[in-house]
Amino acid sequence: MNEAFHRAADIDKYLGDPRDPQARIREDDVLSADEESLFPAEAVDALNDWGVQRAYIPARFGGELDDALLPMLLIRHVARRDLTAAVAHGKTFLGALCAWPAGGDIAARMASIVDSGAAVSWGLTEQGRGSDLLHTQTRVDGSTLSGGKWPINNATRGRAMCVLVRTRPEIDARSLSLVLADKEEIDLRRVSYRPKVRTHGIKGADISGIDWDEVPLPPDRFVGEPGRGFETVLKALQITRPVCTALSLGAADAAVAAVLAFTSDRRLYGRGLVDLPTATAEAGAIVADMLIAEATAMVGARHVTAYTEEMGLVSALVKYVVPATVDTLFRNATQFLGARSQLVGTARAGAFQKAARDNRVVGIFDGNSVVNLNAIVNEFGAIARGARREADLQSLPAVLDAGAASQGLDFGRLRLLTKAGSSLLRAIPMLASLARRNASPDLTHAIAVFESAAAEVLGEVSAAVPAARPGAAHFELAQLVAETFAGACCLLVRAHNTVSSSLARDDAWAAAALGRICERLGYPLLGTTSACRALAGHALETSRRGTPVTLFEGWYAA
Amino acid sequence: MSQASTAQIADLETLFGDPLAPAGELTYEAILAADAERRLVEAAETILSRWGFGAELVPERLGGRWRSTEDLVRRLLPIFRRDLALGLGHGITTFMAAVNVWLGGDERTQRDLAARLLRGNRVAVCFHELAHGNDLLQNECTATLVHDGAVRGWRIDGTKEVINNIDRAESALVFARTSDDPGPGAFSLLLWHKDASLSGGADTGRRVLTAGVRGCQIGVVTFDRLVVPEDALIGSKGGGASIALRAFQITRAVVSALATGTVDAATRLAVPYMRGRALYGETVWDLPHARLLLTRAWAALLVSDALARTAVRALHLRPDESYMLSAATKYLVPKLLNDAMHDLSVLFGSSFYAVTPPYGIVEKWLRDLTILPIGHAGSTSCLLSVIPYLPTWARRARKPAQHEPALFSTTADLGELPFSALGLGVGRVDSVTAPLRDETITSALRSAHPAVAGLVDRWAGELATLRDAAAALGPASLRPDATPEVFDLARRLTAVMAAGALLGTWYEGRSHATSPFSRTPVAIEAALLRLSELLGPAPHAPGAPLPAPSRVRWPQDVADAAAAHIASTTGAGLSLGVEEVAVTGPSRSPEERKS
Repeated sequence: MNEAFHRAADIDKYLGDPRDPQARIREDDVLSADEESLFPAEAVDALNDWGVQRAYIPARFGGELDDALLPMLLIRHVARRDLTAAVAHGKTFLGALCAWPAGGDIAARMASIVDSGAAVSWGLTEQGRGSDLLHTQTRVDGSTLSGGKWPINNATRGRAMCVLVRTRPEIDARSLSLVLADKEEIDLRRVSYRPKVRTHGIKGADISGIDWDEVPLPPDRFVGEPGRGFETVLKALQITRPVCTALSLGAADAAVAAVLAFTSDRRLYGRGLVDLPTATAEAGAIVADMLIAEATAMVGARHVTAYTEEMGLVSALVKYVVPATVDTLFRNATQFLGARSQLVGTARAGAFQKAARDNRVVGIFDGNSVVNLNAIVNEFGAIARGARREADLQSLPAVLDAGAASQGLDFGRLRLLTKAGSSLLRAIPMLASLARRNASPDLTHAIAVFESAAAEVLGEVSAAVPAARPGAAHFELAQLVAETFAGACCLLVRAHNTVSSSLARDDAWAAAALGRICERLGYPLLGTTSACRALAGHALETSRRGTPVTLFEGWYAA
Repeated sequence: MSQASTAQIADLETLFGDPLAPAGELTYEAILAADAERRLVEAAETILSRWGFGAELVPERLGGRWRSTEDLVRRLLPIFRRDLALGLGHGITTFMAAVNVWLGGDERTQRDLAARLLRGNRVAVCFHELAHGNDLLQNECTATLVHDGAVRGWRIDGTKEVINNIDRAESALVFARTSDDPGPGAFSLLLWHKDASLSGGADTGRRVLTAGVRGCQIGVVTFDRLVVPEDALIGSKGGGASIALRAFQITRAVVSALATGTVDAATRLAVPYMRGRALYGETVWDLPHARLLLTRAWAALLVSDALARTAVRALHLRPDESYMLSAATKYLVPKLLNDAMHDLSVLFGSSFYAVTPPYGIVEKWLRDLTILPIGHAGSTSCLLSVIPYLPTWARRARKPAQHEPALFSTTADLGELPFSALGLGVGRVDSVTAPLRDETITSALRSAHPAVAGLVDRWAGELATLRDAAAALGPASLRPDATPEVFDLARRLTAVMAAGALLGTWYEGRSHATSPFSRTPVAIEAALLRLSELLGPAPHAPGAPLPAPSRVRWPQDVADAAAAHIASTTGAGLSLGVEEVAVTGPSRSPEERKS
């Protein structure tokens, strides 16, 4: 088992049962803090005491980071309890990341800031420009920083910020650089703040802005080479995007817990909800979507070290499809839970509405769906090239296995564009034949339909005409490619999972998950409903034992 | 439109004014400030009281202004274009209570309630018990007839939860068990006027906080041996469920039609946002994907509005068909409207998530609309209203039905609502799907819009397939423990009804000045494409050959033409929906306003 699993199980135990008054993150406190938009300071301190921040620092700079899996699993445990705290603490992973490929003194400096538990934010966006980073106006002349960043997570509370700045007037990629603005070494009289922004979810988070009025920076505060800032950011996003999906998983965990509790407790029309076939099918579909998200996020995370060169595509696929799947899950769960889904502050009910609002942040920030779909469209040519090429994919199932040891994180292998798309997409026929072994008739059917639907989608990608300005058809096809990738992740987990949970060892989950994906690809299957009902039954058993619903064993406290 | 009664009533659009104006009583800014403090905009409540909101809810016969229900919807839409919580909380919950009395109360009770509403009193609806959701027949709150000397009355015991206005309303309509018998005959409706309690009391002070409609004062009532007069009974003892189910027909249609106003406003607000937000050296408007999101939202609004308005008119014109049609409407319309809001929230992106003036209202609208498929009559309960009647519907839908122009026309004179004609079950024929079977209409549509001719055929085919599948259902499959497959038939029926309503509305509107179907050819094409996203193929069985996938493909030129229409309609100061009529803002971005 990957060491990350042990660390994750340890933090789960450390954080405790959210309903236990002695726990370090308590549900009641989380809900009342959210209602009052209070920053989760106590939770953040607890995470620092445990040392979550060490998972943000690569091993060669003294930390524990050698794979995306560790920060993801830790963040998921926090997000299950309080997505606001996960965002407040996890942002430092993003803020610090650009320093690691830069190496040298700046990396050592960053490592010591992060290790101290101080928050580092990532200063990319500016007011009115959103994700349009090329038009960044904040600038550094010589070593003087001027301008402002908004809206930025931890802009006010954070100690340091890795800031994207303009170092040349031309509007092109070579004109941007990154600098470290550490409040402990700049003139704070020249720093001002913009007020905390009211947000739909993560209401307690410090989403605010900062302005620098010609602030002199100490020498050598460039993060990486000047002029390489834009490229560094794009490469860093290839790692942060999959890691962010841990937030979606944590939110989905909270939703699934609420749905399962409701299913086992509720009585309607003279019987338990658990005895109403339509209700159990709906609950099972919600669980299936959660497992699709989990499989995709975990397999996506393994790509960071195993197929680093493909992250340009994989990060966009994962960052589009995981939040989209979890958004759908929440909309279905809202219907399923009825009035309970809307109640604030009530024990066992208020947690859902908070998670529902918090969850939307994942799909919108750090690369929204349009940005990710655009990135997928830009990779159509590479995917098509890959489809024509012979490749040795024999080792793929083993290296993408969630339980495999990390191969080490090498930032130097990141590429802006892939050569041949995604190996996992190419491996679908091979994975289908592996996944088919000992499969139930329903699962065999789902695998067969998925395999041909996937071939059709990839065929369309090969036939797609490149366009300077992609239109509706390109975007729809990009969505289908992302769904296909999610299906491939499910196939992989079914075919090769050395850390299988008991849920994963049964066919129902894979039949339900692939059935849901086939339906999204335009092919609803006859057996999906019964697979969802069977899955609901397994999930209810799992939650009665007090363990989370998951495809993987060993990452949570026993 | 039956103008006689509406002419002298002031337009709320004018009274409320421009929601983006720098100052005003019901601006988006004022609404957001009130929402943050969990209250409604007081000034707006004053405007509505002075305007005579209560009179809107009282039938003309009883001295009020309610004649045509479609006119009622038109007059109240300006509220929902600004603040759904204000609409419900001021509000529509009183309407939900009152229709039970108009349906089941005796003349004296009706006159008394009418007088109270005309004075501006509110009535809360005490139906919901959290443990039972929409399963009214499991409700535990009881009412017992008691004698205390000369005084006879109903003693109410139990708790009702998530009740809008329960603390501030002068009256409350209570759904209570009056017999131990199982089944629907065990429940009665009692109208409790707080100023007329005989003894005991009730605690209404505990507020319930909700994520959406935060301004609504939703609470819990715990009855403590409250005794209300014997004549508080509405209708007969044991008649509560029957009255409530008939009342739902009215409210399910009206609430759905009103909620379209919120998505109308959100879609229009997207135009200045898209035009004003710079991105990659252009604006959001220049992104093809953004225009598609906008188009899908508008198309969902058109389908929703066509179905909801048809359901509203059916109350007058085809009351025997209203039970099924209203349930279908309250299932499908909230779903489509929420999907539209989701699309718009993706479009607004970070300006939605971080509540950013002047677009912060979108975040509130999204939260508010979420309660629409939950509150009042939940989606599942709407499907469960439809399911028992599926085989009967299949038989009636085989009978030829005349296309009834008034059902689909915004100019129909509807007269007063024939309350007594509202029944339970299936109508004599199925008028809402008649346009799908009417060769004149379908061939007119095919020839005017060859691009979507295939979709017209698919919907006609879907009606036939669905009829056969519904006809084959046995009685045992129609209970609340119905299988997912039966639920799916009910869902498909709601979509077929929407297709019928859309075709009928297109046909009647295609040469009418205020109809989008006369103003742009893309309206029907976009609406049909959006609706057809609901048209799944039969599930694939093992061994069968794989058919072509059944995904709707949106041509970019449809999205572009639709976006252009949305922009020009918004720019002209008109609403979106099946009637494009004058509204007061928001049509310009703040930047444009300054210049």
